[in-house]
Amino acid sequence: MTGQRLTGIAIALTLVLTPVRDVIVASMTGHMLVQIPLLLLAGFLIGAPPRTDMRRSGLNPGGAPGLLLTAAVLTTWMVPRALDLAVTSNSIAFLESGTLLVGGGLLHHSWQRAGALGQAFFIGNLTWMAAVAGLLLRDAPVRVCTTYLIRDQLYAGTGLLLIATAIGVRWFTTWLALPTARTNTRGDRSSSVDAPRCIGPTATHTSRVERATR
Amino acid sequence: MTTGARTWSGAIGVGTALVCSVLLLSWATDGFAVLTTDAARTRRVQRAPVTVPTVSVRGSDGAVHDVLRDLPRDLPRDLPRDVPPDVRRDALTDSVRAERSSMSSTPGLLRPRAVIVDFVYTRCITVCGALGGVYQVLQREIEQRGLQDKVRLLTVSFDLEHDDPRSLAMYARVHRANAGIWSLVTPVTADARDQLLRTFGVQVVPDGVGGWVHNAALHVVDPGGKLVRIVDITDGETALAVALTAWNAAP
Repeated sequence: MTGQRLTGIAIALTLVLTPVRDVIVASMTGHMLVQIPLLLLAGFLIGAPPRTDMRRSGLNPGGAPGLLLTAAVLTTWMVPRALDLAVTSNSIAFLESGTLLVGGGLLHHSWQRAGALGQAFFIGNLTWMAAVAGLLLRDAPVRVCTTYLIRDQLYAGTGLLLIATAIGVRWFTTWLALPTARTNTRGDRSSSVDAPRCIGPTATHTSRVERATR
Repeated sequence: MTTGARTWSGAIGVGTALVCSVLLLSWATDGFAVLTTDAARTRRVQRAPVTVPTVSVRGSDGAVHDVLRDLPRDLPRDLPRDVPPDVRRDALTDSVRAERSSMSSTPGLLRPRAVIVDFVYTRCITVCGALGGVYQVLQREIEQRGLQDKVRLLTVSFDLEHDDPRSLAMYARVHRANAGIWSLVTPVTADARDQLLRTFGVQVVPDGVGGWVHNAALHVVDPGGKLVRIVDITDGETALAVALTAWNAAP
């Protein structure tokens, strides 16, 4: 078991089972901008369960199913009603943590094989959606979450907008700066080591994945 | 692995991801219909009315009774004030029964009324004040249109610590509540309060400066004791119309 995986497990356990969760989730900003991203990160660090043979099963061609599901998970937990439910119900809180951990794992498995084009699609969609959600939260005249205060909603919206913009801009400037990224868009089979790796795994890991897929 | 098998497993992967994504998003948005908790509860109540639980509340006159009990009308006006509450309640039941049987020749006169329910805490200076204003307008409307035998107003406080009968009476005075139309109550126990808040879908959050914030709305309860509609607090007109429809539809 690698240190990376252990770190992921430690983060996940802290965020799911300890009172740390209650403290973070007490504010909308903490919930949307700390709890959810950290759970996704934990899932990413843990990666795929060690003994599954997903890599060779061909269930995740081009990383598309994995990225699709990850995007759906992140979208789901941007819905105000889902946030409310995750605060008021323990079972929904577990559903939230579970789906985000799985989403992180899928992201790990899919990122490199998606290639530059798939990655661009994923990042483009999510950052765009998060930025719009942030704008809507900032502009909403009433509370959209019954469990959070309106001031908190303004902070969360602003934070979401800033983070989404930052990730989007950072990623696309990197992407445009790489000549290989524009020509090499096939991803799965061809080497995508040159693709930008803002949140991607390490190169050593990539080569391992690549070797396993061949 | 052969190419054929790879295509198949790829298709299975894509299909599973699609189905899971749609299921997840559909769950969060109640079938792609809503984004907020308030919208979801409004929609659910409209589709399937919810029975209001039987819980004990204390009114602004100090008497303890069931939350939906139509006390203002139950109390015969000539009942002696010095009779202890328990005896009073028994006498009350008898007198109501007698009254009902004597009125059998004029059916419908003592039919239960539809109720418009709201939730407040009397120290609140923001949305509860607005609710008080909306209720004042509604009360005037009910008086002017002579609807007091069909629709009544009920204000429930969720502030058990502060809102004793005196505070309720004060709130009633400030808003000029007509006791025959508008009654004010506080649940007797925290349990009773939570049960009510849950049923009506009201979420109370501390505002960080000693008060609370809550999703205020007008809740229409039909004469049979079922929550049938949740209306925006600014839309008293609709609440009254729905309450009247509910009263007319009741057996």
